[in-house]
Amino acid sequence: MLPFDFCYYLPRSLSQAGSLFEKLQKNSAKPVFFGGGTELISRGRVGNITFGAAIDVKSIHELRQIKDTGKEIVIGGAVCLREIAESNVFPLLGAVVKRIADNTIQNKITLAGNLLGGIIYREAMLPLLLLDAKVVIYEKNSTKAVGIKDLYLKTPLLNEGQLLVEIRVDKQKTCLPWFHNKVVKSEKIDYPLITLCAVKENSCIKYAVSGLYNHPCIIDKESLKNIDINQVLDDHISSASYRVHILKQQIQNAHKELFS
Amino acid sequence: MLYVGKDSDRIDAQDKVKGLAKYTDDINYCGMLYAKLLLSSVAHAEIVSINKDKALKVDGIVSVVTGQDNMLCFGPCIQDRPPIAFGKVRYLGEPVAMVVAYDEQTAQKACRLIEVEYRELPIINSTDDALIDGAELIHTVQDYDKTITDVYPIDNTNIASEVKIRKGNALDELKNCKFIAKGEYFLPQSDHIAMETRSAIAEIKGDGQVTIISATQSPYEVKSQICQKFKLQATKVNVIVPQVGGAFGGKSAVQLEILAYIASLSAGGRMVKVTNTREQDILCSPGRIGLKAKVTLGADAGGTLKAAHLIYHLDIGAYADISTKIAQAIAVDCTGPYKIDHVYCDSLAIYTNHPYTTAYRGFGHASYTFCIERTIDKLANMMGIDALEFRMKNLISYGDYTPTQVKLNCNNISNLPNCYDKLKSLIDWSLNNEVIGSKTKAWGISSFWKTSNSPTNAVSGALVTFNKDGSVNLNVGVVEFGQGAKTRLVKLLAEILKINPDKITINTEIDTKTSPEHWKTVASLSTFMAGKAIIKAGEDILKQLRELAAIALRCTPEDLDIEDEKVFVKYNKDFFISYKDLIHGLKFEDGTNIGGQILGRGAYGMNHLTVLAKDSGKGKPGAEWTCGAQAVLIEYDSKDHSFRPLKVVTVLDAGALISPAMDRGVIKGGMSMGLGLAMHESFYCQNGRVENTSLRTYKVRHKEDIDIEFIVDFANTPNVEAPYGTRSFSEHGIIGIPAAFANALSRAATVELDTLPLTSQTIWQQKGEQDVTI
Repeated sequence: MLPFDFCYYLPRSLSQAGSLFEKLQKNSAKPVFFGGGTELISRGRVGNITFGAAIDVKSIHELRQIKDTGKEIVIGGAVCLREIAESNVFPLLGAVVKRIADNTIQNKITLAGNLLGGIIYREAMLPLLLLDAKVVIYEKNSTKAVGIKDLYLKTPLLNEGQLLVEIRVDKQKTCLPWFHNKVVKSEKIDYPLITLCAVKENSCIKYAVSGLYNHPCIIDKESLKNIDINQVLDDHISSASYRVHILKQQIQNAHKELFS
Repeated sequence: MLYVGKDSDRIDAQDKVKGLAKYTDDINYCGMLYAKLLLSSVAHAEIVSINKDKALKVDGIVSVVTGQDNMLCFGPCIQDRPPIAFGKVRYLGEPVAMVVAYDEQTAQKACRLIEVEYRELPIINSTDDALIDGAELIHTVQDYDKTITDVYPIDNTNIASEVKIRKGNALDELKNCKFIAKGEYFLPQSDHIAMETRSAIAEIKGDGQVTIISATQSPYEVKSQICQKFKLQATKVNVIVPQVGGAFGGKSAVQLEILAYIASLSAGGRMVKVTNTREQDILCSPGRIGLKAKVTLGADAGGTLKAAHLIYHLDIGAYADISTKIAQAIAVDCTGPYKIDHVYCDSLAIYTNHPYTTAYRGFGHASYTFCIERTIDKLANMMGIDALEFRMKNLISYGDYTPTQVKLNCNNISNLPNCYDKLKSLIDWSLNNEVIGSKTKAWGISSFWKTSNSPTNAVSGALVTFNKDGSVNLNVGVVEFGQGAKTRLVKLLAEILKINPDKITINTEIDTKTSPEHWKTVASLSTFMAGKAIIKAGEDILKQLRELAAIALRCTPEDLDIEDEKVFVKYNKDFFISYKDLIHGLKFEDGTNIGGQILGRGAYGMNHLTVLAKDSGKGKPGAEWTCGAQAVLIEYDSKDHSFRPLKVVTVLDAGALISPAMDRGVIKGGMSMGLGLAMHESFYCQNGRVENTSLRTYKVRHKEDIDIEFIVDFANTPNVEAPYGTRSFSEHGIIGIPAAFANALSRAATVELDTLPLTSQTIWQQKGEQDVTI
C-alpha cells in the first residue's frame, strides 16, 4: 500500500510526456516519470518517497525500441531488463542485466530505471561506461545526446523533467571480447559484492566495477593501487577489505580469460 | 494398519494450491477499521513526549493510541512487555503509537504526523555488553509479575532467567580428562519469514463479547492473556483462527491480538484489523534468539566423553516472551544426544536492545547443537578418531540419564545407533575430503535430539460427531499452518474408527468457543497430544457403537467386533449392523428408537512431567526425545573460498510414520531452513538498528538454488506410549543442519568455522586475509 494518493498518466509521445511534466510541476503536483515502478513503489511503501503524479513512459514508442541501425545499437529507456537480455543485441549488457534481481523483477525494471534509480549499484552502467555509450535525453521539446561519462557521476544523474529516451552504442564495440562476473555474498540473487565488467580493445583491457564505491566506476591498474579503503562500501554484504580483495581476484580472472 | 503409514494428499492442499484458502488479512467487512503502528526509531530511550495533535486532525481518523492509554505489561513467562511502549522504548521497531482510521492509507498517513521526543539511553548491543558490571539496565526485572513459577530473573541485572544444570561433578572431572576441546561460538538473531505476515482482527460487541481473529499458533493463549489482563470472563472472549500461512514458532507469541483489542477498545468496540508489513513482521514482531556459547568437552584416553562445561548466553532482545523457556530447553538437552555423566551448564536468557524474540523451529536446539557438534568434531580431530565413529561410541542410549537426569528407555528415546547405521549407508563417508584440482568435497555430520518443554499440565482434546450418512466431523484445537497436523489427525481417527479418511472432515478453522482446548500448536506435540485425545474419542465412540449394536444384534458388547464401518458378531461377519444405522440412534422397524446421536469425546493432559529443580535442573521436561543423525556434503573451492552444498541427508527415528511422503516433506522443509541458517539468515544489527529488514537484504533460501539433493530416511522404533507407535517430530529437520554444514566446510577449508552464517569472506578472514597480487 502506498500511503499517499497520486494521479496516473499514460502519455503516448515524448512531447505529451514533456508538457505533462511541465504542467504538473507548475501546479505543484510533484510529478515523476514512471517506468517499471519497482523502486518508486518499494520506496513509496516504506515512506522514503512521495509523488503526486506518475507519468508512465512505457507507451512512448521511442523509449520502447531496440534497434540495430547497422552502425549503432539503440536501446530505449523503457525497455525492460529481460527484453535486453533476450534480444541479444548487446551481449555484455545482456549478461549484466540477467544477473540483476530475479526473473519477475527483470520483467519490470527498465534500463533507465537501473541507470537513474536510487540503488547505488547501477550495474547496467558498467558496459555503457566501457563502450563510451551516448545517452539521449529529452527535455523541453528537444533531444540531446550526452556521453555517459559526462553524466555518470552527477547526482541525480538527470535533472527534474529530463527523460532518458535511449542509449546508443557503437555496434562494432559491442562485438569486442568481454568479461562479466558478479560476485555475491551468498545468494545468487542479491546486490553485488563486486560486479566486474571488462572489454579488450587493441590488446588493452578496460575495467568497470560496481559494488566497490557508492557508484559504478571505471577502474585501471593505476587506480587500483590508490584505492582509498575508507571510500569502499563496508556493510552487511561485505567488509571493505574483502571487496577490494574480490575486485583484484576478478581483475585477475578477467585478464586471464581475455588473454587466453 | 489401514491408514496409518500410507501416503495420502494433504487435506489443505487443494485450497492452498488453487489460491482459495482464506487467511486473516483476506477478511474484510464493511465498516471495518484499520490500525497502523508508529515504530520507535531509536533502540533505547526514554519517551519524553508524544504529540498526536497533527495526527488527530487528519480526516478519517478514529483514534490515536499511545502506551499511556493502557499501561499493562504482557508476557507468557515474565510480564515485561507493554503492547505499546510507555516510559521507555527498548528496541528499534517497538510500537510507540497506533492510529485507527477508516482505511489503511489514512492510518499510515496520520502515523507519520505523530511527533515523538526521545532522550536516548546507552544501547546494549550484545550479551557481553549486557553482562558488564554497571551495564545499563534495560528492565527492572524485580518489579515484574511472573506468569509461570519456573523463571528465574536476577535482580538488578539484564538476566531474564538463569537455568542451571548440575549433574555429576564436571569441573573436577574435566581435570582428569586426557583430551579437552574448547570452542566459542556466535549465532546472530534472525527471523522466521513465514510467507503470511502476522495479522489480527478484534471486535467488542455491545454486550461485551470479544471476538479476535488471528493468524496464531496459540489461540487459547491469546484468550487467556487478554482475559487475564483486561479482566474479562473467559466466556466473553472468543478467538478464531482462519488458515495460517506458515508460522515456524513465530506465531506462538501474542502481540498483534492485544494491539487489535486495544485498537477496538479505542474505537468504541468497532472491528479493527492490524496487519504487519514484511518490514514490521521482521523488525517489530518477535524473531529468533541469538546465541553466544562457550563449550568445553572432555574425553578420556579411550575416546569416551566424560564431562561437559557449557555456557550459553541467549540474546533474547528487549523482551522475554517465551525465550526464557528456550534457555531452559537448551539447558535440558545441552549436551546433544551423548552419554556424558558430568555436566555443568549455565543457560542465560539475556536482555539486549535488539528486537525481542520468541519460539523458532527447533526451540533453541539448532543453535546449541551447532556449538556442541562443532566441538565434538574438534575433539575427535584432536584425538585422531574418526568423527563418525567417535559420535557412535558416545551416543546416549537406554539406561543412560539425560542432563536433567531422566532415565532413558526404548520408548522415551529414539534408537540413535540405528539412525547412524542408516546414515552410514547413505553417505560415502570413506571418500571424505576428495580433492580434485582446487575443489574439495567433504562431509560433515551432526546428531540431534529434542524433547518438548511444555507446561507440565498442557492439555489437548478432541470432539467427534457424525452426520446422518455416516461421515464424521472431527473438532480439535490444533492449528494447521502447513505442517500437516490435520491430515495426520484425520488418519489417526480413521484408523481407530476403521473409517476411510475421505469420510472425515476436520475443522480447518479454530474457534475457541467450540474447539476443545489444545495448549498451543508448538513443540512438535500435536500428533502426540491431540492424537492421544483422538484415540480416546475414538474409543469412546466404539464403546457406544458396541453398546447400541449389542441391542440390535442381541448379544453383549464384548461379543462384537468392528470393521468396514460395521459392527458385527465376532466370528460371524454376516451378522452385523452398519455405523450409519447406529450413529443417530437405533431405530426399529415399528418406529421405536433407542439412543440419541453418538458423540465422541477424548481429552489428554501431559503427565508425569515435573518442574526442573532450580539448582540442578533435575526433573522431567518432556515425554520423549526424538533423535536422528544428519550429514551435509560440501564442495569447496580453495581458489576463491566459494562453496556449495551438494547433498543434505537426514535419518530420523520417527517411530511409526503416519504419512511417509508428507513426513519426508516436513523434514525436508526443516533441512532447507537449516541451510538458510548456515548460509544466509542473519540480522545485520549495528548499534541496535537491524539494517536488513526487507527481503531484498534479508536473505532466505531461494527457489533458484534447488540443485541440492535432499535425502530423508527413517528408523521406525515404535514408542508404545504414543498413538500407534509414532514419535513426536515436526521441527527436527532443521536442528543439525547448520552444524553438519559447518563441520563439512571446516574440514574442506581446513579452518575452524564457529559463527553463522558462513560466507566466503569468513573463510578468507580465517585464513589470514591473503591478498591477490596483480
